[in-house]
Amino acid sequence: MTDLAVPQATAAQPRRNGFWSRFRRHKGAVIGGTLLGLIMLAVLLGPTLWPYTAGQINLTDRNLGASLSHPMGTDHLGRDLFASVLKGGRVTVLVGLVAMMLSLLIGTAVGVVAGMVRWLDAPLMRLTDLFLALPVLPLLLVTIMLWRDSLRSVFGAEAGIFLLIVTMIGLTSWMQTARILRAEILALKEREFVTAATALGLRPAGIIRRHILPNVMGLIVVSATLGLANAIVTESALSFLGLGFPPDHPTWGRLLFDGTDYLTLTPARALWPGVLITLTVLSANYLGEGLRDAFDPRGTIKRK
Amino acid sequence: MSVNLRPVGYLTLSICALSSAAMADRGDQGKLSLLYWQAPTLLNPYLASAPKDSEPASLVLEPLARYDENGIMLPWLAEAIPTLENGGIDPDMGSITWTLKQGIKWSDGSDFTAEDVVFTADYCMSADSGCQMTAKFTDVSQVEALDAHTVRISFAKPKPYPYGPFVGLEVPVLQANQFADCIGPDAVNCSAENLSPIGTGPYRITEFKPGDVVSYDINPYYRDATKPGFASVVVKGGGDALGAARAVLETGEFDYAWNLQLDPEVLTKMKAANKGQVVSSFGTAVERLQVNLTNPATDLYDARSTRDGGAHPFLADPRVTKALSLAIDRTALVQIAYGEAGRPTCDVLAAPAIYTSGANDDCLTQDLDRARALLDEAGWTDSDGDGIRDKDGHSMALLYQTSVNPVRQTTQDLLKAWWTEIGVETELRAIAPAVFFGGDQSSPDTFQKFYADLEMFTNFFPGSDPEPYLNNWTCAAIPTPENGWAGMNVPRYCDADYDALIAKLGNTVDLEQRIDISKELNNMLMQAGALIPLVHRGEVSAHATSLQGVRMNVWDSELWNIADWTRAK
Amino acid sequence: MLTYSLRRLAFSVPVLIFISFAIFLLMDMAPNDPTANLPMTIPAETRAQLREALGMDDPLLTRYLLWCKQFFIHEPLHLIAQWTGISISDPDQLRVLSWSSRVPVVDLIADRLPQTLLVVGLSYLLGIAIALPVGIYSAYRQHSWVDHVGTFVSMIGYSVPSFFLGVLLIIVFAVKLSWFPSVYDTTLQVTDFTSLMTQLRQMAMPVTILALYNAAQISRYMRAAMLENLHQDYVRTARAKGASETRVICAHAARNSLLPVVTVIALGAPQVLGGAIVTEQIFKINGIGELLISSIQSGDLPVVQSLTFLFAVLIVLFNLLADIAYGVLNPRIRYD
Repeated sequence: MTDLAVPQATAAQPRRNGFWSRFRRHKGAVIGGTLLGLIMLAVLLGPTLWPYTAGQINLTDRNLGASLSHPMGTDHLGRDLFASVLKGGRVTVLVGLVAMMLSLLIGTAVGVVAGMVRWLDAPLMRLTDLFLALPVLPLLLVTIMLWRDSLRSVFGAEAGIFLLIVTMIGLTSWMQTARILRAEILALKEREFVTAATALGLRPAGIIRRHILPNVMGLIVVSATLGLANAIVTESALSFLGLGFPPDHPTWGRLLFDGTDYLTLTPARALWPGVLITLTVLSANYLGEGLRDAFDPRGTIKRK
Repeated sequence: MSVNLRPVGYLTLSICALSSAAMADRGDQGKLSLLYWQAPTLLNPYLASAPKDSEPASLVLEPLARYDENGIMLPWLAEAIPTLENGGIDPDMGSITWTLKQGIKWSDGSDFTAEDVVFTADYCMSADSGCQMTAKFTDVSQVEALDAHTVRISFAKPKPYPYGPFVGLEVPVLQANQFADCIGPDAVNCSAENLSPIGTGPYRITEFKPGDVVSYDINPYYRDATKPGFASVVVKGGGDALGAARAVLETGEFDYAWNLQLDPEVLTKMKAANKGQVVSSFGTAVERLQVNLTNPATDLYDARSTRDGGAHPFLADPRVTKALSLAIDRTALVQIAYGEAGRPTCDVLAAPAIYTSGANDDCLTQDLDRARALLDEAGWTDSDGDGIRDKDGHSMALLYQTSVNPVRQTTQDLLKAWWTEIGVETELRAIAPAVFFGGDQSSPDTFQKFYADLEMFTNFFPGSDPEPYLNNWTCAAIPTPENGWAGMNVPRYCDADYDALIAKLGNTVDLEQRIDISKELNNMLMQAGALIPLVHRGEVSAHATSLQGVRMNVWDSELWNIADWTRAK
Repeated sequence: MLTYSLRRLAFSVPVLIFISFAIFLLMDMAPNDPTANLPMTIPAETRAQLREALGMDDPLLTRYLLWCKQFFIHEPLHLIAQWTGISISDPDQLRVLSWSSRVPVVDLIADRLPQTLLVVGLSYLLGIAIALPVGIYSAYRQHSWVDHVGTFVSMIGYSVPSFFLGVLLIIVFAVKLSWFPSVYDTTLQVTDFTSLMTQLRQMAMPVTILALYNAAQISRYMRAAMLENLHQDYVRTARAKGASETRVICAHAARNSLLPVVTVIALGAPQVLGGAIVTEQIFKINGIGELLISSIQSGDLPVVQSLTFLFAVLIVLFNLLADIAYGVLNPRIRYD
């Protein structure tokens, strides 16, 4: 075990160089990463730089089209849409990323354990069935009822509801990842290189890290991308069910939902949030694929 | 007391005027398609009294008397409206006697008689039936058939307004023969009967898929041989208000869409397609803020939002609620959020016109300076310079809750902005309607528990008598943990003078006096700051331009005169 | 495999009973109230009587056992009576009735199932049919324009919510172009060519939206799994042996990449019967999805309980089918 780890450590330096050059060669990954970075930068710094405050009502400027002072126009209360999009983006991106990671973490853990540990397979999969079968909406209503007020008093109104939403989305969306990884691992486990590693006496943790995870990384990336989109859309569904953020806190999903009613009047209200959601998910997808290819040199080498 | 009862000639006159427009034969107008975006699930109004159910049922089931579009009572299955003058009401107001029209038949061909009326009363009043209309039968001691066409309803005490039973769309007459085995606890098991009641109306049900679609054809035994005009009717459900408006105003797939509370500018834009028109009508509904006069602070635990928990730190002061009310620009609110479907109001008793007080109309114009002055006067100033008023270390921050609904969220946003200008901070909360309006004991979010400082919803009263409505604000009607949070006095307003005046109203027969007392009660509520009325709300529907004869009615079913509807050639 | 399946089936009975109790508990705790959508003028006493008439005041366990008795004994008895004409008990008594429509839940489901199966089922099959070739080809020609277009379209399909896409399609194709109706007619009977065309036209928009969503997700997994497999040794071996490219791709790589796809398809199949809540609402299809959401909103416990339990049965069943399919696709996978 120890002598297996040594060559790896010495090889670390050239390998990192290889990682970056491989990553840079992946055009989509570079573009996706840059875009995602720009979006995150915009939503982080934007609200402080942009002259209009999100939510500032101006009844003389209602339902305006795009102009220099309002690049995305205004809504039915004269609020600047660009300001709302910038501010809403913070919550959206944060909810999306954190909820996706939580769901991915649970899903991967359950999937890997169920796939690798035979006696845990059945109980874990029945637990998955249970989570799949529970109706989400009543579950959310119960959660909000039980924990909103206590979380609100501990963390404040916004942080409390953020924790609640992220946890609920994470807890209700990990099942697909778990089942997919388990299926793939059940097959991988019987492949020559894994049986060989087992025969060599490699510990399960080592097998998972060196042989299993690299081979399912592509699926994890897909799960992550779809999970991100799912979290963003679910958040919007929560807010129009009255379970999400307070009504004066815009998020992209909510802006898109509210804007849909105005599609014939001020189409920009729906189009911009929709474009940004898609762009974020698309960038995350390409970035994820680039990272996967860069982390896993095997595929690239064999391709040549 | 008979102020709403104009001569019967009024009815004949208006119907003649309409039918001359298109002297149609029965069933020669083709098919009529209606869109109720909240789909009907049960066509027995006694078990499902929401308008989405009772209006589609009104094509089939009819009451003894209806209200027309002006709120005036019309005899329907009865010969005439019983009054003191015509002897239909007992001089001591202990009973009312209805004479039924002759020759009316159920859609199965059998005769409609007084026995059906008596049976329907038994049906609703029997225990365990789950009848939702029991309030209409309050104080009814006996319903008896004097002969085949005469029914007497006796009351346990004098009833100044005896038009509860069998007046309006929610209390029609059921066929005794069909529902004979559905009385009491068996009511719930009568699926077939509840799905397809036999009626006396212009149509009969041919197919009903609950929550989806109702199909009707003409009742062959309908009393008027030339009506109804349309041979078949379909009531389709599902979707939302916007989609419903679109299907009538933009694509023209449907002839009529019900309940379209939408952004006025979106509706105007849709009307531009020239396929249909929007109709509205005003009843007694008022969108209002309920002010929590008690303290909703979390650290009070079980005494939260009860009178035991003490008065609200600032909302119990009428000057503060007055200031909040003055800061609201109701005209702008109506223009932006309601359009044709609303009018600014400062009275919680905003209709019928004879009952409106008008004494509180100074809040109709926004006056931020006066609002600020009132708050200063009450001792609430911004002493720490954070832009929010405070007093004794307590900040003027409000939690303002309502149900999820785009118009309500727009109102929340506007009010929050105006209150920020007078130095009041507002946290908004929107709750799913099924929770907010529900009575779940364990939920903290019901409108009756009122764990917030302000909340907003609409309330109304059916018909034209406000007494039961004003009864909502007596001390006894306060929701408390002891009564399971039941009761409509959500502001927790309690004033012995108000209760005394309510008692007086209950014993007053003279209409003029009743009006004066009602106005006085309204003024007491307004001056105590228990409620902040915002908008007198109307109902909005849309119909195809080609559809003729629609007389939009909030007092009864919108489809009340469907037998007269025709299509322009 | 057979013993494994039988053991799983036997084991799923206690699992399902546990799930049904968990759902019941959840529904009981949820703050939705069946009296919430009554007019405000209905007084509190009437509301209390109504709850009592619905049996809401009974203890939780009593209500749960009553539901079990109705659902597991009386409903099957009713079905038997309907099919064979042999009635063992009074068939009308003690069926599971909806609180809001007072109709047996099974009848409601029977009303709703045809349109859901047709629209959601068709879009699911269509989605799979599109996703598999797109996924395989995108992986085979990674970074080609087909791959990029596929990625782009599937990201739009997955990340743009149907509440927006549906309204957009309605405005373009129903309002502006008048090609398709915006309201789905569930009473339409297909009898001749004209009515068939009407049916196809009213299905076009919802089926497109749902098929796009399904294809998006399945094609992503297909592509990812394909990419992993294309670099494995056995593909090189197959090529070295001189197998044709089509055979290498379809018989070797694709077959081994199907595991995650089969999983996703099996996870999605119960949803076909569960309907598509948002899309059904937008096009007024009023299928099972609409029934579920409106029942949840109106606190109609018997409907929600019965529907979610039926979904639970389907979920358990389809996951079992998926596990069996793994063994068929990859004989090395063993469960015992």
